[in-house]
Parts: sequence; C-alpha cells; structure tokens
Amino acid sequence: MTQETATQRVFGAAIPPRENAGFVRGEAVFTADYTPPGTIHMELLRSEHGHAKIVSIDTTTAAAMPGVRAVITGADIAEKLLPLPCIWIPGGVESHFPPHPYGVPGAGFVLAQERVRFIGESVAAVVADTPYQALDAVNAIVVEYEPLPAVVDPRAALAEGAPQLHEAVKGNLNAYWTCGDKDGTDKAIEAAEVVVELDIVNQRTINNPMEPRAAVGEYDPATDCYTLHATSQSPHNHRFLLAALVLGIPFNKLRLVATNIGGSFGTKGYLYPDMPLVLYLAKELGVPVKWVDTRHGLMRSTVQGRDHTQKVVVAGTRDGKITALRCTSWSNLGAYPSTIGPGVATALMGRSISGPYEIPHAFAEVYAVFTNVVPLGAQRGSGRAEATYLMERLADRYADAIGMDRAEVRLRNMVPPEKLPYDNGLGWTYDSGDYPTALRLALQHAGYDDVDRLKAEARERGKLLGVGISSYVAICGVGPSTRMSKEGMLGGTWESGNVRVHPSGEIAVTIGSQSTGQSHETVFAQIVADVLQVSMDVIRVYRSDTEKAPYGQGTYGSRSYSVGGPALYLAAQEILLKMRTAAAAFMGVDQSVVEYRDGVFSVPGDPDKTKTFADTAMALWYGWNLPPGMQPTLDETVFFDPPDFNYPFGSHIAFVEIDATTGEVDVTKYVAVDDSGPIGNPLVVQGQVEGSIVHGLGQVLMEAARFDDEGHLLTDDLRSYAIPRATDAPFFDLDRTYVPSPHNPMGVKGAGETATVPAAAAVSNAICDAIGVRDIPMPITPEKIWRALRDGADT
Amino acid sequence: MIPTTFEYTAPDTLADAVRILAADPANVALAGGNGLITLLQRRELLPATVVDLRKLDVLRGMRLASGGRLWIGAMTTLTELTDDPRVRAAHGNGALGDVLAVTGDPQARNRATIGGTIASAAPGSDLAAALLVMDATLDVIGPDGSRVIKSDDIYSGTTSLDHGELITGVHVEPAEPGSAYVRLTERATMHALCGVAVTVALGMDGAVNRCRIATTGTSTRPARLTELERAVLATHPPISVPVPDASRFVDDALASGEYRRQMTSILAKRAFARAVDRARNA
Amino acid sequence: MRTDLKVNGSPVQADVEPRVLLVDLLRDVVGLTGTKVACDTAQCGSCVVHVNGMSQKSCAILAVAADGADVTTIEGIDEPGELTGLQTALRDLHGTQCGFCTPGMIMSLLELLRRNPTPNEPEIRTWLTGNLCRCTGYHSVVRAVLRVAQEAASAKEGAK
Repeated sequence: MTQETATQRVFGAAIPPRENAGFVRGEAVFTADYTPPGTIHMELLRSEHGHAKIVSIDTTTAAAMPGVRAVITGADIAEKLLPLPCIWIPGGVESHFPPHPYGVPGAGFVLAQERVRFIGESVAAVVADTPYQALDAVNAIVVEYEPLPAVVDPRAALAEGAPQLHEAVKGNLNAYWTCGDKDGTDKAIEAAEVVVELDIVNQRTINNPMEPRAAVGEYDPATDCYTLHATSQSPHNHRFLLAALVLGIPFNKLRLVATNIGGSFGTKGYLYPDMPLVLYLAKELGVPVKWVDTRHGLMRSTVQGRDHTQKVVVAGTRDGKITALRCTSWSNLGAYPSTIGPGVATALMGRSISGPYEIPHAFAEVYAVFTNVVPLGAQRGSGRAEATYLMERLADRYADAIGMDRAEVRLRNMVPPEKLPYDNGLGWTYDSGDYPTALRLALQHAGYDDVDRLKAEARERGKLLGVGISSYVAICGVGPSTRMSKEGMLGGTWESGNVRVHPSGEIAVTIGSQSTGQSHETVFAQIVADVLQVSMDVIRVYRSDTEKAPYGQGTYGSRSYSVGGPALYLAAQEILLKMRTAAAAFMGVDQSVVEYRDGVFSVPGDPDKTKTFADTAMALWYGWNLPPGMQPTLDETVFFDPPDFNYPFGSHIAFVEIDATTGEVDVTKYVAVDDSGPIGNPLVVQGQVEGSIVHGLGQVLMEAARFDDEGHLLTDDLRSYAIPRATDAPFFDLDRTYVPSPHNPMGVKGAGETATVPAAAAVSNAICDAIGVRDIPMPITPEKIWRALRDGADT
Repeated sequence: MIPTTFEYTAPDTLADAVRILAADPANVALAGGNGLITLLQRRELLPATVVDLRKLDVLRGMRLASGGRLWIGAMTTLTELTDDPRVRAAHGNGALGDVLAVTGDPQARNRATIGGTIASAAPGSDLAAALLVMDATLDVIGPDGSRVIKSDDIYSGTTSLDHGELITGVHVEPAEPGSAYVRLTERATMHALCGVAVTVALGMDGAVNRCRIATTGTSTRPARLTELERAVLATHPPISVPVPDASRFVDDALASGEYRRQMTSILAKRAFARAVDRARNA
Repeated sequence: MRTDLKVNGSPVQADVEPRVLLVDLLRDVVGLTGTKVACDTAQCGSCVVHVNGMSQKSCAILAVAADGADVTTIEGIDEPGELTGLQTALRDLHGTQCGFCTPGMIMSLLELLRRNPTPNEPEIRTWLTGNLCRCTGYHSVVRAVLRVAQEAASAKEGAK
C-alpha cells in the first residue's frame, strides 16, 4: 500500500541518512576511537568458572609487570563501588534480588566478591600504559578457585537440592509472575473440543552487535567531575544510576557521552562493571582510563537474549475458533538480574502471548530463575518475539488438528478492526490496527492461492517447498511512565525533544534518545523540517551528551521515534506558535490572519507584510519590541509521556525449499507486511525491516548460545556461534499498511525491531509445513530436518 | 585480543628458516597467518619464535611440468592459485577448482597459502579432500634434509610434519578427466561440515575404471574411503555410493557422526555425478 | 622491532613488538581509526584493509610482517571530501546503518569491483562471506553494489 502524504513533505521522504557519509568514509567516531591525551588502558580478568568460590587472588606478579599502574580486585573496591542496580523487576508480584545497600534490587558486583556465579564475571581489573601490557598482567593474576556445583537449566535450578546462587533468593526463584485468567483458561481448555500442546525451547541467543562495548573514563580534579564516554543507549539513565547507585557521587559531577554506537539490538541499555570502573580508576590514577571489549569478552559478559523454556497449550472448537491459550514459561535470567532483564522476561513476553487474536481465555505464568549463565537481557523484539513464536507455532498446530487452512484459522480469530481498542485480557490494550487486512495483503503478495502448484513444481525439482505464516502485534514505545511503574519499572519512561532556533534561522535539534544505527540525525531532522517547513540543510541534530541533551530515557523497546518523535514534533509546534505570534506582532496584525508557508509568515492580500523564518528568529534573538509577556529567543523542550504503548502489527510469510536428502534449507522468498503507522523515512524503515528479519532468520536457522553443565560457554566466539551472512538473506517482498496510533500526535509506532518479532515463527512454520512434522526445536539445522524427515511425522 | 609476547624473524633463506624453526620446539612457522594469528590472539598457542616465511621467494610460484604435473610453491596463496591461468585450465573444472571456489572468504584466500593450509590441517579443510583424491605429494624440508610425503600420508597424523619441517611445495598430478568436490557448509567457520572429493575415469564400456573418494570434516582427519572406492569400481553411472562404515565418523557440537556418514554417501554421489559429467565432456 | 611500511601513500616507520597486530598499528600508532576491530578470529571483516592492493584482514597480520608493504585503509581510498562511487551508492541506498562494519565492507568490495566491475547479485553475496553485518541484513549493501555495477555497465556501453 502507499502512504498518503502531502506532496513535497519532508516527513515521509526517503532521504538518505546524512550520518551515512561519515560511516562510508570511516570518519565516524565510535567509543573505541576516542582516546584523550594520556589515556591508559584497562583489561578485565573474567571468571573461568560457572560457579566457584574465590579462595585467593594473587596480584603480586601482575602488579610488578611493565607499564602496570594498578591491579584491583573485588576486595579493593568493596567499600568504594556499590553493586549494580536492577531497575525493571517483575511487576506486581513478590520478587527476590541480590541485595543493594540502598534497598533497591541488586544486580551483581562491579568486581566479584568472594564468589563467581557465571563465566565471564569480572574478577579483577588491571590498568597499564597499553592494552597489551594490561592483558599480559591480567594473565599473570593467579586466582585460586574452589569450584561449586553449578546449575544452568532454569527448571533444574528450581528443584530441591539445586545449587543456590544468592542467599537472598531462596530456591533461585526471582519471581513467579502471572497474567490473565487462570481459572477461566484451565476450564476452557478442559472443556474444549480440540486441545493442542507444544513444548518449546526459545533458545538463548547472543545479540552480537558488530561493535563490542567500550568505555573511557576521565576525571577532572579541578572541578571534581567525571566524564564517561561509553557505548550506552541510555546515557541519561546510566548517568543517574551510576552516580546515585554505584559510584555514590553527586549527579552534577558525572557527564555521560555516547558517541556513535555500532549496533546494540538491546545489549547496550544495561549497566556493566566496566562503566564505574574506568571512572573510579581515572580518578585514582589521575589519567583517562579506556576499556575496549573483545568479541570473546562480549560473548561471555554482554547480556544475552530469549531463553524461555515453555509448555504451551491452545484450545478451540472444531470449526476454528480458538477458545483458550495457556503458557507456562521458565525464563533463564542468568546469574544476576541485568539492569532491565527481569521485566523483559516477564511482562514483555507474558502479556503478548495472544498476538493479534481474540482469545476469550488466556493465561501466562513465568518462573524467572537464576542460574549459572550469563545475565539475560533483551534481544531485538525481546519478549514479543518469544510470545509470537509460541502463538504462531500453536496456530499452525491447531489448524492442522482441525483440518483447516492456516491462513483461514488466523483470519477467523483475529481481533476485527471494529473491536479496537481491544483489551487482550493479559494486560495490553491494543490501540489500533487492522490485522486481517495486513494478513490478506501478505497472502496476496505471497500468491497463497497458488501454493499447491508451487509445491508440486518444487517436488519435480526434488525440493520440498513449505510456506509459513506468522502474524503479530508488537507492543512498542515503552513509554507511559505510570503504566510502566505498574510493570515494575523503577523510573520514568517519557522522552524528550528540544528545538532551538539560532538567530541565523538555522536550527539545533537535541534529543534524549541515542542512535545505535537508526539514523536519528536524519529522521528527527525530518520531523522538525516538516513542521517548520524549512530545509533539512539548516537543521543539525545533537544527542547523546548528558551535559547538552535534555533528559531522555534512551533507545529501547522501539521508543526513540514513537515516543521521542512526538516530543520533538510538539516542541517544533511550540516554536512555530511562538514565531507566528511574534511575526504577527512585528507585522502589526492579529495572528489569526497570519499564514505560514515554506519559511515565510505573510498576510494574504497584503504583499508588503511578510516576515521570513530567519528574520523572525533574528528578531526574537534581539528581543526588541516583543509582544507583552513573550520571552526572547526560540528554545523549546517538550517531554512526552504517552497515554499508553503503541502496537505495530503485521503478517509475514516465509517460503522455504528443503533438500530432502541433506536437510539443507533455503529461505527462497519472504513476504513481510508491517504496520508501524505513518513512516517518517521509508528508506530507514526498510533497512530496519530487512535487518530485523535477517536477525530472526539467524535465531531460527543457526544461532544458539550453548553452556555445558558447569556453566562454561561453548560458543564463545564467531567460530562457534554463527550469525547470518550475505548468502543467507532471502528475496524480500515488503509492503506495509499505515494505521496511525492514537497514542501520539504523529500516529507513529515502533519499527526498529517489529519485523524480528514474527520472523522466526514464519520460517519455523514453513519448515514444518514443507516436511510435514509437528515441531523442530530451534535452531533448525539441516541435520534436525534430515532426522525429522527420516523419523517421520511425529518428531 | 592480544597475543602473548614472542620473538619474530623473517629469514631470507630456507636453510635459515629450517634451522631457526628446529632450534626450539616452541618455535612456529608463519605462512599466511589466518589460522596461526587467531590461535595467538586467543592465546591458544604460546610460541617462542614465530618464523615468518614471507621472504622465501623460493617457496612461491607454480611450475607446470611435462605431462601436466603441477608444482605449487608452498607460499602460493589460494588467490594466486585461483587466478593462475594454468591452474584454471588444468583444474578449474575439477575438484581443485571446486575447492578454490568455496573455501574461505576472499580476504582469507588472499593470505592463505597452500602450504599453510595443509600444515594447519584445520578440521573441515576443503583442500585436504581434493589433495587426497588428486594424489598430491608434498616436498618437505627439515633439519635432516628433504623428503617427500605421499598423498595418503599427508593427513596420517594431526599433521604429517615433524617439528622443524616445512612444506616447500605441493605436486599435483594431472587431474583425472573427471573430478569434483562438494560439501555441506558449517555456518560459523565456513569450513566443510562434511565434504567429499572424488575423481573418476570411465572405461570404454562406460563403467568406472579408476576412482578415488576422500572426505573432510567427518572425522578427526581427512581420509580416503578406499572401501567405497572398491564398491564403486566397475559400476556404471549414475554412480551410487554405499553408506560407509560408521567407525570413522565423529560426533561433535556441529553434527552427529551418523549424519556425516549418511551425507558422505549422498555428497559422494553428487560429486560423482558432476565428475562423470566432466569426464564425458573432457 | 622496526617496521617500515607505506600507509595511504605515506611512509610509516614504527617500532613495535612482534606481537602487535597490523590493525593495532594502524589504529593506535598511525591513528587511523576508520579500520575497526570486531572479532578476535578473522571472521567479521571489520578490519579489512588493502595490503599491496589485495583486501586482507588486518587483525590476522602481524605489523612486523607488513614490513615493506603498501597498505591502504578506508581513509586512503578517495580524495578528501570526495567519495568513491561505491561509497556514494552505500550512502544513498542506505547500505550502512550503525556504520561499524562499513569500512571493512567497503575495502572488501573495492577488490571485488576491481576484479569484476559488473558483478551480479550471487557474486556480490558470495564475495561478502568475509564481512559480517548485523544491522542491514545485507540487502541494502547488495543493492548499492548492484548500482555501482549498473553504472559501470552503462559507462562501458556509452564508451562503445
């Protein structure tokens, strides 16, 4: 479908992102590229055990090595740096956390205290003149460990007699969290004509942004102030948490700057030990301290994604009406709660399980459990992707059980557009949408009516062709602060935008969110250029520096554009209103007769009375003869706290061809129809959609973090953990619908991760369709397909 | 990641290289470095001296002998092999050409040398299977002089080289009229999860007169499958290959031995189909 | 250990330990930070530079082994302020999102385009097996290279 936008509008134009010029030249500065004069280097010693007591740490050799400035262990900082906090806890239920002295939920230590609980936990830090010297010294630290029994499976961790991770968390259970109607669901399942069950392991994945994390700490003794350059997608939030809850310094004394960030997909919104460490050491040593992670370090310490083990049930009638849905999930939080991991693992997954369907009785329960693996965080589409996977796998199983077409089952059960807004009974109220239209459009693109012929044709070529549908609703725009407080978020989730017009008529736009590759410098400029009807060329977008940017909560949950965008849009409108009022006064007319078009205020019928945008800005800067009560200059900040989330939706259809003799699978075609409301820059959104889908293909076809029983990570670099390559990406047929969200003045919705949400299920459904089996656990490797084909339909 | 400290030397003569390499069991030779530098970075290898062979021009280049026998200097990169018109003419349409088309990535091929690829004996090395069926032999020099390693001995241990020995060159016999290499790709490393190379010569009656079959990625080391070769001899195309004995196939995190075993038969069949096609069109 | 090389046409003399990787020499000694480090195992291609005209992974090369070599980095492929056709196409078709893998991707693709100015889609995708990108899903990169190929094809046509 085509977006209806006024011609010549900047909003909606496929403008090549302006930041791309710096990227293609290699000139864009990332954190690892930032080296202030005098910088020395930190390296971390990480645990080699999944669970062990630290008997002793001998740093004498390391400390005496060339270039070494400091070696510190947990004991050295126990009284100086507080543990990291967790700020998104399972909402509305009793939950248990490691302690933090300030009474907030604790999330692990900056350096291990007496015990390590996962491979990769920071045990000691070395600072030396060069990274080479620092790493040499790290390797010279002698740690005597006493290995403790480990547990890596969440269900095993709940069993009696299981190794215990935290004294404050009895039985390793962080929380038992539920949503929906338990009794009604149980009864409906019991009474149902048809019941379909599945056991699903939504396997643990490693996000692997191309840029490993990095941090540079600086301390200025003259002002007693700290500056942290870090790969942080939530600079303001991290500044607040680090100052108040980790370093224990005045908020005023910490500045956090994020430069360009080389991808995140959820991983860089968390606090990590290196962040306070480089600041602490910069002060102690009087020079800037820099830390840059490696891929190997990233795999062992940066938060990981997914990891739900589920028992799921759908019930329905023989004629195709789903009557109940139940999900029991064991979420593996890892050894410590990450900054927002427990909230992601519960609410974002549990409340999303019914997808776009009207299901009278639904219930989700989540056991959030600590085990001896790397802490869990978000991965692109987090929670919603796991929910969609189970629902869409069940939808196919149910369709098969009643002998109904899989598209037909979905169409029959989708919430009809006239029922929106719709309370899904699990905690979300879908704001808007037209789910059947998106699915019908996808079916049309896919040539769904012709699939039987395509299958026959493929069989003649010796291939098994399968088609998989996956429909979704993705809750996005983590935003409404009061609502998020009920979800266990210990903080606000509004977003900000600032527009400042210089006397020259040029414009500085400053946002509180932080790009990790979403072209913020372009798409936010487009919003302002559109409202103010000025050229993009006069607008510069600033961000990512807590000293300069208005408070913002950062980039996660597809919220930058759908929460921060409206903030900026409203700020630009306030600017325009003030300029109109001022221009009217300068022209000596009532503002009701003033027209504004393309940078000129004018009075129709009176050609002498015009005032350009730049003239007006200059006049406001001078401040002469302003209307009564009007302040000089143009500088407006708006903090936008939406009334509720926004709910993008869509339907994807994957085509796969399988070589029955080897099990090799080729995703030959992929149709995606997504709705993220009005689109500010189609080129940018297309990039997000394509990247999102390939991320989903990675999970379903190849990605898996594997630990042994002692908690050793077996997939600790890109030799053992595969991610998609250029040869893996299928042919895409992309389209969209444009239903606006009522929850913000632009009608926009999240788009950065939505297309990941249905992707794994679409491919999984296609593979099961091709070979006629019930289910194959992810990642679906050629060998698993080959075995399923060999062993028959009930694998 | 950062390697540990070591000494480095780039000798100008082969004799110096051999002498220095042999001087300390902890010394290692550096050819292209794709494998070695990764091991150093991950500190999985802690050498005393890295002996860089880059200045040894005597190890570079290719010579085509009469009869089509090809000598390839050990320090010849895979890209140089791929780009060489003589190699392309003689082997482009055969097992070696198939290997060069799929192995590594362009940047790896630009550095990887044929000698280094053989010496590092990476599991799932595509080249290994091709060398085995092409009856390649290695020229090796060591502290005790030169010797020749026969094809079947190249992969007889984890590496056939004794400490202090260097591969100086590889002899490749003229390709059989039909040869081919096919593999299943391991996604992370892009090595062979299971790879099979074959050569075939058909007799006047159209039946298999001579053939060789070798696998890579399926076992602890690349190997000829002589029992399968015997089973295929004298059969007529389309050649079907029995499923080999289970004993040599290993389970690992990437695949089961059983899968590899079954795939070996399937891939061999495919390789033969391609090789027979080539033989007929030769 | 002394190593003399040419970087982007200028001579560089450095005294480095044998273990220093070429990428660290380029970034930390020469100060050219356009070349990135993203994996420890020579797989991702973020560190690709040209050594004597061939694209190579600078994290898998010892700096001392580049003695005498002619090295070109992302900073050296164009005149200041100007972009190559490939860079322009990647910028305009959004073949870069976070930008971290982009310099390596460009250095890799420049060799492809030198060898074959008009590659087709499978050839581009196969060539890119040494470059990992987590943002784009590769499509926009492929589109950009196809555009460069198309331009080369029409320039050739025009020259006839």
